[in-house]
Amino acid sequence: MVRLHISDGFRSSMTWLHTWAGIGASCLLFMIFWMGSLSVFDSEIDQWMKPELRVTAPTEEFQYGPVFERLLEGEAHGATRMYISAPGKRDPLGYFFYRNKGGENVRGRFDPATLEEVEVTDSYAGTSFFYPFHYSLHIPQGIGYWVVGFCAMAMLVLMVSGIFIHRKIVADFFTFRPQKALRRSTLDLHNLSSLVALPLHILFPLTGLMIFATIYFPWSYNVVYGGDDAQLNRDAGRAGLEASGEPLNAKLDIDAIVGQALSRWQSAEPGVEHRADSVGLELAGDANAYVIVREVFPSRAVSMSKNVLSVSVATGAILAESNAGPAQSAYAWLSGAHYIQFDSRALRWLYFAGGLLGSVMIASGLMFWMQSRIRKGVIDPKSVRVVRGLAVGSVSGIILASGAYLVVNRMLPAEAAAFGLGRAGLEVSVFYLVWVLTYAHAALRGKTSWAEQSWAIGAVGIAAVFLNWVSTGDHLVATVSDRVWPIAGMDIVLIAGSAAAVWSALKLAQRQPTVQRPSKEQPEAFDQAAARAIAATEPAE
Amino acid sequence: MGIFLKGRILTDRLSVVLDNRLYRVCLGIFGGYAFTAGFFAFVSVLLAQAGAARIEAFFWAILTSFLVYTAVVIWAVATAQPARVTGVLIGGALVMVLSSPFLATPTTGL
Repeated sequence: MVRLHISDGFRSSMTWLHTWAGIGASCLLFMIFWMGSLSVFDSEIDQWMKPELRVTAPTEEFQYGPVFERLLEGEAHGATRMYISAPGKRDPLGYFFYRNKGGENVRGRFDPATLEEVEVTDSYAGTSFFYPFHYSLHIPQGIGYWVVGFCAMAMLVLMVSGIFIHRKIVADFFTFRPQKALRRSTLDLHNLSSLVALPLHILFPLTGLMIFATIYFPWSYNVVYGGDDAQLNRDAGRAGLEASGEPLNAKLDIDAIVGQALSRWQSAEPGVEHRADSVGLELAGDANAYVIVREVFPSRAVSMSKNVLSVSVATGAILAESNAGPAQSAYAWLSGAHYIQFDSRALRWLYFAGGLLGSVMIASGLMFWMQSRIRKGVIDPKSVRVVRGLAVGSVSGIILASGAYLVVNRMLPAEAAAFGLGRAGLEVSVFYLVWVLTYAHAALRGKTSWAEQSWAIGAVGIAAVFLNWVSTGDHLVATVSDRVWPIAGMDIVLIAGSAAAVWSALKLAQRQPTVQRPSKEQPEAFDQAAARAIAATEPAE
Repeated sequence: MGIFLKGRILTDRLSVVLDNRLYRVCLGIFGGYAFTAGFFAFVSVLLAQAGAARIEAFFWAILTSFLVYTAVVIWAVATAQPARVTGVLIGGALVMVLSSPFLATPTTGL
């Protein structure tokens, strides 16, 4: 029998690693977790920020053919490629994309009943601002992906080292002493929030890294294909043909191709109800034109669908088809567990809670480190100021900025434009402006900035609910009685978040003197982890 | 005698550098990345050689690589023998990066 021996040397190196990987990545990790948590409800945030989307989802089956026809005969005449996504339960309008004759990309939303384009509020909202923020930080040139990837790897290392640090992991799990000194209850909160959602804390960074594996290993991923990306695409069901230059002599019948794909999937998996979530037309008008039918999310499963089919328009022949084996199926489940587009609302709430717990874990870990350092006088007051400024701005600052983003969304008129920015650009500028100001505020105000920003978050949350009512007439009583859950849910979460922020502000005001008084308690057995954490990070000399 | 002494001092200095925690972290991050990048390519070509479909080999590499990277970082930081870990990571990375392209199965066409 092999006995796992965890030596003190190993544990102390893990403590050291946990501390420094934590300090290095925690500010960024908090931002990523916060934005990731918001992304769980990105479509609902879209509905809140773009009132035109507050319509009931269609119940009848969606037909792709008429949409392609209307667009190709109308404004998209001569388009070279076109993609249509069906409306869904969470997103009641359809989505279209095409590249017009001039090579420009055009995107928009359409009403599935009338097939007419719907003008929606000009905003990046949840799906184009919060959601990409959590995997790219909106840093251009692909740098953001690498920064997030580094943080995700740090998170995995933090989870492993964090588990090794704990001698009594179960006992730590059941220990929470909110009445103890702030530093000790912070550590308890850190342990509790880590352990209660431990599988999710590992799942989020690991699956996130897998989704972008081809970005992180740009050379490695297609060595097995001898560098042949086209073949990799074909194996994944995407035909990837080149234009022939000859005109197309066949009639485009989208619905027949979609029907062909559905019956093919149906016969492969008879018990499952299949649907085409997106249909793309490539090389439109060319003899090599082909249609890609994709099933992205089966409605009742976590796993993303592997079903992708490319069909030639001219001959009706199948050009490429995904044929998933065990590894691809495992990946489909894992990536589906990150994209979480399934129907289950309850499961989505679990993810939201998991994401917020992760945010609490990161913030409490950072605060524990700061409090230990300040108490022991290890860092000089100037550095305290800098570290605290970074922590406050990265934690309460980004929450406040997100709230301000919602508020300004409900305040700007439809045609707002200034400084060369459109409405959506102005909203984002307000987000960043508020965010930068929170760092400045924290640097100037020091310790009290935590409480002050908590008050501001409370005010902003209530203001957002009020402005939603004023600008759209959808107040909470109306949305609850009409069962408009996306909007009602947003308002309820905003009110609950405000209440939590005000509660924290009051608690912080109460707790203020406790921090300054040097602790006279003897270090107890359960505080050994804390003592070790501090000892391990101090210079040995 | 003089040369021997010089050599002793050099190896002593080297072991001080290798035992340094900053060195271990750098080894974990950069050596670990090189090793994992090699592993990704190597494990996928090996599986394809063993008869797996190439798309499956590709996904096997995706599923395993980040676990390997995590383990390697932990190893580099925790090890009592940093010189050995350096050798394994850098040597392994070189071997896998250089050999994988030659093991790739050629495209047979559609």
